[in-house]
Amino acid sequence: MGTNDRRARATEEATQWWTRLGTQAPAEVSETDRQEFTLWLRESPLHVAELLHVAHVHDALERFKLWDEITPETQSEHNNITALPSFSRMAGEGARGEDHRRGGGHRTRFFLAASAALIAIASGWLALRSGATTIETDRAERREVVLADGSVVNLAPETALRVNFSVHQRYVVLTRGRALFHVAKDAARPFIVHAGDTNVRAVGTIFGVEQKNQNIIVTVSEGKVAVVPSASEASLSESHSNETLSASGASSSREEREASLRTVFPRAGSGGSRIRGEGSATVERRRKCHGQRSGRRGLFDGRSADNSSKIG
Amino acid sequence: MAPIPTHKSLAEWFRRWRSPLRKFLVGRGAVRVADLDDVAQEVFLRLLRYESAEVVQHPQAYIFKMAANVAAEWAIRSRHRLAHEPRWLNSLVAQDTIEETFDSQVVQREIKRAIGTLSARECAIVKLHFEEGLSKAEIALRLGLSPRVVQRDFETSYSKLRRELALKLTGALNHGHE
Repeated sequence: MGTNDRRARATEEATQWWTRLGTQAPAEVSETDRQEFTLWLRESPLHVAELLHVAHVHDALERFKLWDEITPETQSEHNNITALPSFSRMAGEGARGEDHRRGGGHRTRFFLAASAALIAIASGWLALRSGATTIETDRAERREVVLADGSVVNLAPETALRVNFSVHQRYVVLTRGRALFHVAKDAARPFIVHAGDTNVRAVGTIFGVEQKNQNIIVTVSEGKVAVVPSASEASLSESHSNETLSASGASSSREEREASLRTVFPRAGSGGSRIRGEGSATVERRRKCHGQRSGRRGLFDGRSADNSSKIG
Repeated sequence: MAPIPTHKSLAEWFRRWRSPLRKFLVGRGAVRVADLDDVAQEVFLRLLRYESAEVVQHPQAYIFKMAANVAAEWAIRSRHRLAHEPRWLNSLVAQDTIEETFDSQVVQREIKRAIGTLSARECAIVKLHFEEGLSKAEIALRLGLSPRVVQRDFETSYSKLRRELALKLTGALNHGHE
């Protein structure tokens, strides 16, 4: 982890401590919290520095005097949201007549409420129908989840994925982090993991997918998977047992796209690897002997990931 | 240097801990924001010297008290290091205090710019807290959000502002002092 990452992490933790302790009266801060906070402070000078910096931010906000000029509604992010007509404006428009205004206001509100309810029902129905579920892990949290088809997913900390199973396929989107998939066999419904701009397709295998910055790292423990850029089927690489494939999604054209396929934990008689399709990816293959370590352990302890992510 | 902290004065510190940095940023023992990392290093070393049980009683109070002490000590030291020549006096007198610098238009504009980088919801939450003095629970009620969302937005806002304000504001403070 680089200095910037460490500092960013320390900032995040400092803000968490600041808001957590700041919301409670001093007497209400539990002994455990105080102990944890002290331990955290004693871990690194960086933690102390970031706490002081966050305190400085707080101080700056307390001294800020131009709150009048701050209008949250005009922040750029929400420019696409149209404000509902306010009641005062409705009243202004209703100069034509009291009864008419009242009727119009009610009608407008009724239609607004009805359309909102309709949208809510429709989106709920769609969500139920598509069966999309989001599974997330927090920092230092690991989860093992059994999916509806019997596949098992092990989620590393700070990982999020969206599961969307249909009649024709089992589709999982890895939004961030690392996950190991133990896929249940179902030839009629391929198991597809989408990460970045890459699709990984498997039928009955064990494989891990990690999304790290712009890189997608696929590590296969058992069986084989097909790795396809989601934009096109032209470049397709197959990764076999005990192999790691990593691809950079940062490059703009497929020709620039580089992939590295290597055997991470070779066993006697393990198969080679091949790239099928139009060969737009440059493939570099290396072999490394890691003794008798189990490939499955390697998926989650980060050794394989660290060795294979410097691509592109 | 500030007097050695007793439990009573620490408790007092603790009560005022929501804006404790003002104590150490403003006043005679003021330290530049640019020096915060160095101050933190010194505070960290002192923190290790204390008994853990003692610090755990009032951790925030300890850390800011230490920061204030370090800042005050450094200010005294730097005063002694300065050459006592008459031509330096004018520049010393012309210096703004940190409080004045903080209130200067440049810094106010800079804070405003940094707040502008927040999302609308984060901005609304921070504004309600600092302008109207609402608690996080009250903000959650007012905006129809869950307290957890308010809490998370606070954290995100502080992280963003920490990144946004850091260099620019330091520059402004340095400008007033160099």
